[in-house]
Amino acid sequence: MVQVNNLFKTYKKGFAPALSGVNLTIQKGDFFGLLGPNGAGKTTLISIICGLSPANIGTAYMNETDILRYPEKIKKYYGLVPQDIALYPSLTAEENLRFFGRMYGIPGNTIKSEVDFWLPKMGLSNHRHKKINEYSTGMKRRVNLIAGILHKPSIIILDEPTVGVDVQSRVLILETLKEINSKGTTVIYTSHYLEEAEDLCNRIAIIDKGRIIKEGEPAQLIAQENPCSNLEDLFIKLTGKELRD
Amino acid sequence: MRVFFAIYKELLILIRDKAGLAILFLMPLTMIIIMALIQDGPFRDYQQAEIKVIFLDQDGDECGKAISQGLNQAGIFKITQAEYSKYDLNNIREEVNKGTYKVGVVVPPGTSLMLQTHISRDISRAFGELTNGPSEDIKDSLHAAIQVIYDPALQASFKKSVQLALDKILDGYQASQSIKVISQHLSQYFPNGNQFNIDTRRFIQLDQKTAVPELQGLSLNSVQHNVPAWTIFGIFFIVLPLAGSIIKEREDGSTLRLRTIPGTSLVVMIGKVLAYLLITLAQFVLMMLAGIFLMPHLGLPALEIGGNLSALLLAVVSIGLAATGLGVLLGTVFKTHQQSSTFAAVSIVILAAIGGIWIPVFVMPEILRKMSVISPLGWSMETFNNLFLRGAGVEEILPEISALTGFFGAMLIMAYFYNKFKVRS
Ligand SMILES: Nc1ncnc2c1ncn2[C@@H]1O[C@H](COP(=O)(O)OP(=O)(O)OP(=O)(O)O)[C@@H](O)[C@H]1O
Ligand SMILES: [Mg+2]
Repeated sequence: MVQVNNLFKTYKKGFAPALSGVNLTIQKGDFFGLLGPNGAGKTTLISIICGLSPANIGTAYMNETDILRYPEKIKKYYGLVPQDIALYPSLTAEENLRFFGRMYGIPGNTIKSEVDFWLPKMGLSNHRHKKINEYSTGMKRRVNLIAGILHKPSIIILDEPTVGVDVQSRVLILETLKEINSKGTTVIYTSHYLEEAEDLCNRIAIIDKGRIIKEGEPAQLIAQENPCSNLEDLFIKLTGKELRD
Repeated sequence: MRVFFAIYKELLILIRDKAGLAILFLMPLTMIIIMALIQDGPFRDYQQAEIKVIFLDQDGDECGKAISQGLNQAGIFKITQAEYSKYDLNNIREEVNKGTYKVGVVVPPGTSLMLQTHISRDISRAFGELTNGPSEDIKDSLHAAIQVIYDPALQASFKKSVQLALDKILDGYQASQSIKVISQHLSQYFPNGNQFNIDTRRFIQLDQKTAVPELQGLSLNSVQHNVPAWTIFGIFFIVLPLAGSIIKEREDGSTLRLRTIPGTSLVVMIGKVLAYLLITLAQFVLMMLAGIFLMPHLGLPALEIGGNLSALLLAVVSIGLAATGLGVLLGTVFKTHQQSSTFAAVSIVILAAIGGIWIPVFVMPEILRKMSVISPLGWSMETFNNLFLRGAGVEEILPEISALTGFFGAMLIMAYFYNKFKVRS
């Protein structure tokens, strides 16, 4: 479904590369976790996979289409939930969703039924006419999520969808993702919350300093490395305790 | 189709930005009112040129009356008659020096008598009634001068018009007096009582017209300059909110989301341009209504917008496009709202100044007049002047319209390549 080979990416000449030789394969139906500390290169990798940013070296494919050569062609396959809230602050949740739905080319009545389904499901039925800038972080994240999945893509790519939200919001978001994944949608998501990834993901990759340092099923990876009892132990063992910039 | 939703979204955001709306609509409206009132006086000075004249008639005879009447009829002087018993040449000089009057005119005593004597003598001699030459004492008295005193600050052109008016009056008066005396003499040669009444009216008249017949009597006044000028300024001010909206969309991350939707960035940008174009049209209509209906309530003349509405619409759309083009480029190039606002505000004020928004181009010094050709606000002003004052149609405003739309195209192309270059790196 998504395949990445030997990807290199440098933002500025003379600086350390954001990605140096990334290889990754994500299968259809996977719930794939891309885990790594701050500045590891998660967002960079995702923006290349989404055809939003070019790479210096390497190849990347989505559904057999060359992402780097035809970035426009792959955009119909996925929905992105960006790391930063990507909504119009002075529009209401409903107006935002309607607008983005229209931009996806979804017909008006389909948008209406989707919005009527998702807003209550995400606990926002009482706030649908409230402007986004009056929302709490958790509410914004939930609308941000809906905006990325409204058009029912076959791949959902989420960049830290649960950052900065309370437990209730986080549980709701993750449950929703689990449900969507169980219906066959591929989910790719990044996080530095490890226990959440351990529960959810059938596959994970640990990325640090632009390199994938481990990839596989969470349970297997934990078992391989002694004496690790959970993903957090494994993570610290692999990436060390030094602080990241 | 999607573009309509993009326009709708843009307008929705704009309508909720009350401060932005105030800048777009109230600022130019306020500027129109203030500037039209402030410049009403100076424009009158230029156009209607009522020169205040104090007039002292020490002659108290026909010549003095003729001059007074002639100056009144000239229509460009506001005459105050100085009382004979209270004023002399020195008082008049003081009055002008104080600045109360721009010009003082004094007809000295005996002017009429001098002229009469001179004419009678010359004509008598011509008819052979006088054989001797004039005696010396009469020769001395043949000189009389009307005293004209100017305010030192009076412009040369005004002095010239005072001089021309007086010359005309004196020439005419002397000629008519001569004819009168000649008629009297001729009558003597026809004893059957025939009176010679030679008509002294002028038979060759001046027929004066403006180059455009419909605009007869309309000349540039404060309203006619300031309403279009500040409308243009207001239209170009949409650069600020437009650039701001592009930057904000990028900061909010909506731009990123839109880039993930196939073929949408362009649609949203077109929607933005069209939405702001609609705003400029609304601004234009509001300002024209203010010019036509509000100005008369302020004691100013109503705005004349010429008769060619389709040419006018074309002009407004071109001006709106030029403004949105600049907004798109600034929104693309600048990173923060602050940077783009400062740059936009300063550059629009400067382009307005050299484009003849603050004061008309024709009163600016030569060097600035030459620079005005680089200002899109100057092209816009020229377009409106052509439409409103010269009765132009589409054909006549084509050069300015092409420049404005060309400017729009150039801005978009630059923004496109800047974006492309930025994404690549
Ligand atoms: N636009 C950019 N210009 C220059 N350097 C950048 C840019 N974006 C990211 N980087 C650098 O590239 C590296 C990888 O950044 P990236 O955002 O991909 O990390 P991340 O794993 O998403 O981190 P986080 O957990 O903080 O989101 C970092 O060192 C970052 O400083
Ligand atoms: Mg990131």
